[in-house]
Amino acid sequence: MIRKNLKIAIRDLRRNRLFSLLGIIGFSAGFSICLIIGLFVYKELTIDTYNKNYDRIYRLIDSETKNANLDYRLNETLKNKYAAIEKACPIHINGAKPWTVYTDTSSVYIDGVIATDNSVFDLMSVNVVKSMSNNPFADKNSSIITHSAANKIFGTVDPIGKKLKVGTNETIISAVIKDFPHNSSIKGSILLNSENSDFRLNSNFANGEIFNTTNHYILLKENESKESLEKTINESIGTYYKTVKAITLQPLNAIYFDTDVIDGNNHGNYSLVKIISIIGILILLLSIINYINYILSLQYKRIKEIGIKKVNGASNKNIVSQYLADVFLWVLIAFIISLITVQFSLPYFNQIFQEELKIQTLTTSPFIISIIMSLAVVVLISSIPLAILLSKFNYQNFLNNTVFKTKNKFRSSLLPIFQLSICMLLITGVLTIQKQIFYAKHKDLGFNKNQLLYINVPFKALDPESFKAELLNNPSIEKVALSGGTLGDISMKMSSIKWDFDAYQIDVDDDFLETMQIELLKGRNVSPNDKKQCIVNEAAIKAFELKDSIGEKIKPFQDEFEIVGIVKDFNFGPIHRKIEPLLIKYGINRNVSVRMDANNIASTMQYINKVWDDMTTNEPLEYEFYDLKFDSMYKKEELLANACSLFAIIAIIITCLGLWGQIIFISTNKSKEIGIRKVNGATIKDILIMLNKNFVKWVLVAFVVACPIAYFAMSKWLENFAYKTSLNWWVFALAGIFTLLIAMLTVSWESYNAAKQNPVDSLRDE
Amino acid sequence: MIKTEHLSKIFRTEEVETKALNDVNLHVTEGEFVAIMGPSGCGKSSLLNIIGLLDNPSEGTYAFNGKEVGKLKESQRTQERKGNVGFVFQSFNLIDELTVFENVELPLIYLKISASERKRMVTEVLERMKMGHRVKHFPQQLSGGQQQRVAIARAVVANPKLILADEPTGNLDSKNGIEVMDLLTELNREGTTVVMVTHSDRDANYAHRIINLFDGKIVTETRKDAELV
Repeated sequence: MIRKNLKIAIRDLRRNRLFSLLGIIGFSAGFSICLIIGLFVYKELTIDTYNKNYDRIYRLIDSETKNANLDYRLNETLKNKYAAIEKACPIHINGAKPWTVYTDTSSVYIDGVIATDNSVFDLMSVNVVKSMSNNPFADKNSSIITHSAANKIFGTVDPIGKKLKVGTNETIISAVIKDFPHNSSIKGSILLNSENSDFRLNSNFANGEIFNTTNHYILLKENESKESLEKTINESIGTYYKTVKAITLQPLNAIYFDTDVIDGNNHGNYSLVKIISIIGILILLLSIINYINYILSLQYKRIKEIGIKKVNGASNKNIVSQYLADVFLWVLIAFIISLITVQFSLPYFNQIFQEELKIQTLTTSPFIISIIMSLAVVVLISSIPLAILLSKFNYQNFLNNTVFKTKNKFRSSLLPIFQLSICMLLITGVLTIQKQIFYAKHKDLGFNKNQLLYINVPFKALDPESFKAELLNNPSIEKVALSGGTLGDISMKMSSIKWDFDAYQIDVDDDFLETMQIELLKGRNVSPNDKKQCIVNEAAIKAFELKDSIGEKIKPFQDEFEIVGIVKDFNFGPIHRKIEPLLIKYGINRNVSVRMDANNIASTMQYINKVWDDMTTNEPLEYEFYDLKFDSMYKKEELLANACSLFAIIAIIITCLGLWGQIIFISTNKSKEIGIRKVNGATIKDILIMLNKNFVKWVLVAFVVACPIAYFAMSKWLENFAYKTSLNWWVFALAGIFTLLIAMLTVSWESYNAAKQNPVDSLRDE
Repeated sequence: MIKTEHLSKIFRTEEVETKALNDVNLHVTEGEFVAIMGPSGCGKSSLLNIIGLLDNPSEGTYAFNGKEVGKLKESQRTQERKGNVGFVFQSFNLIDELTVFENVELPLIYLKISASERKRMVTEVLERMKMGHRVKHFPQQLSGGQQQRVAIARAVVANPKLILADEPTGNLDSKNGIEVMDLLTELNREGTTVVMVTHSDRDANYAHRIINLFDGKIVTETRKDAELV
């Protein structure tokens, strides 16, 4: 019976070739995208769960300041004083900038250096490939290197026992580990043994002392509760560690999406995951709707078929099983096509979105369950029309032919309106995201980022002042400034008990304002003679509530500073962050900013390289253009925009397939009406208007439906930005017009064909 | 009014070529009532379609109201047809989604007649067809005879000079059939030319002239007041 049903189902598919093709292509395209989005979302939601004991691993964060960089010495306390802790491990990730590492013969850039100790191997599932001793860190001067970093630095040579200078730290490589997996929030290429206090990478100043800091990870003993440990730690922490009043235990798998905590971990964007998931669900809905449309368009034929079958003795069970065979075959074909599509398109997706998604993930149980459930939903939804047909069926109507006349305007309008609304929603989304990126890239940063180069001078590599003097010998170099930290990532903060906020701080030389082209609003520039003087930005004036600001004194530390100048606000931190109070003091530092003549960039760069080579030995020149640096801060948004655009295009294609099916269905059903109208004087134009009128109406309704949703969603998304573009009416209008255009282009050809038909054919008596 | 010379219509499919009309010479003067008879497939409907400007002949000429229309494009045929030709079909061909009033109004809309004038004309013609009490009904709510009266109302609402009826009583019982034929006769008496395709001898007898087609050719022509021509 099953075989027979399948045979009939195959015949059915072939008979309704066009509709079948539309349905299957639409559904497969949608389902492939869903699978890819599913892979992405799954990866994002399972970050760090590759660790065997991930559900027992926590990180300590300061409950008040949300800072995970806590006193390194806390490690000992955690290990010894709390019985509920099985293991404690310090992990400091310095992933902000590329590091220069030196072998005896060469130097290369490496991303991500981690300061940790041997306990990391007890806590995390890090796989050691090769080790010179039982402990991967053989001694205090040891470093560990990942497989890919080893290849990059040493090629095929065995790195074990080799000398490696990481920044200024001289180490011996004692082990090689596998690369951190793509779903890890902890990423790095080189591990330094933080038992050596020189290798700890980070320090802080508080209560009059300088101390190392790190992120403290702990493994909770089995059957111990996180809450009670938290309570115990908070009751006693003050006795060991004075500046932290309360800590929170953050679960390992919560780190990835928590961007409020200050750390060096690899972070994700939860709102992006949400947006992409919603898009995935919408696309799946679009494809299901297409399928329902396909089923409904065959409804008339099906009623007749059911009637004939029932008259000839078929039971409801027979009819349902034949129908399910139809749907099953259809879904199976679509699913296989989807899998093939995913297999072939995944590498491109990975490239575009800089991901490492793997098709094998589809064989994991959460995926198998979700796929089976989605397909079951499709089969279920697709069965609704049949159930309605069967419940309504009666022989009298069938024999009188009257059941054929039933129609449901609401149903036939609802589905395309829904599809068009989704289409419009996605188009509005894409337009808004692009508009925001454009706005941000062209926003006045408060300084001129063009033709401005940043050079990082490693410690002791050369004397920054002589380097500056040498650079200024080239007439194409207009200005050079030295500073501590560069615009875009100034993170040095100071706090005072007097203020309920933190102020950022930067040390600069007296050429800084002019080089960066920052506007001095009041007072004077910093000068080499300054000892206790500073400049502040407008945000600081506002925050300190200073009125007659020049000459006023502020006291960030023990020392008091006199305000000698006020500058216009400029972006000194990440672009998403609001401009906060900033103190600018005089100081000579190793970050060099170079303002160049726009006409001679290439030759100027050659000159800079030459000066650098002449003044340093075996030291690569590490530089970046400010405009590129600031533009790259929008990488995440650009990826989102690309993803949205791509998915919007696919959603549009699916919608077009649906609309196309719809117009074919309508024009076939209305062929007689078209004939009658033509006989009575209607021209092709009249018929085109009649057929396209509904689509225009649907687009209008979709516009009304989509606008408020899009407005709400995009306003919410824009809230993520400190400086955001406005949501103009024209974005919505453009999305509406574009959707209308697409709808008209899709249906008009078919409408025209229908309108062109000779009425004689459609009116010929059956 | 209608003059065809050596008119032929050939239908071609991939494999078969069918000659539906073969060298038909027909002349219908204004005010005439002509019945076209013949067995199924003899070309009656094809001839009616060409006369009604729904289709072009494959060969020969066709002059409608003195103007050669045999080679017009579809849009030109539509313009010629508008307001000049009314159609009545065996299966009524009313639009199910439209009311009686809206069905009758249809040709007037395409003639771009104002709404108030349309209302006047439709009401008048429906009163005349004794369907004035049914204006808001849908076709499915009417009997066959009533539906055909609505179809005739639609055919004549724009006061065409020519009515083409394709087996107008084919789907009706004899009582309703006679009523429809009486209506057509009445319209003809008022000056409208009627060309009717029929299988029924009874209906054909209402005509002034009966033309018999066989295999796409006119084989006989009989005038009611004369002998076989």
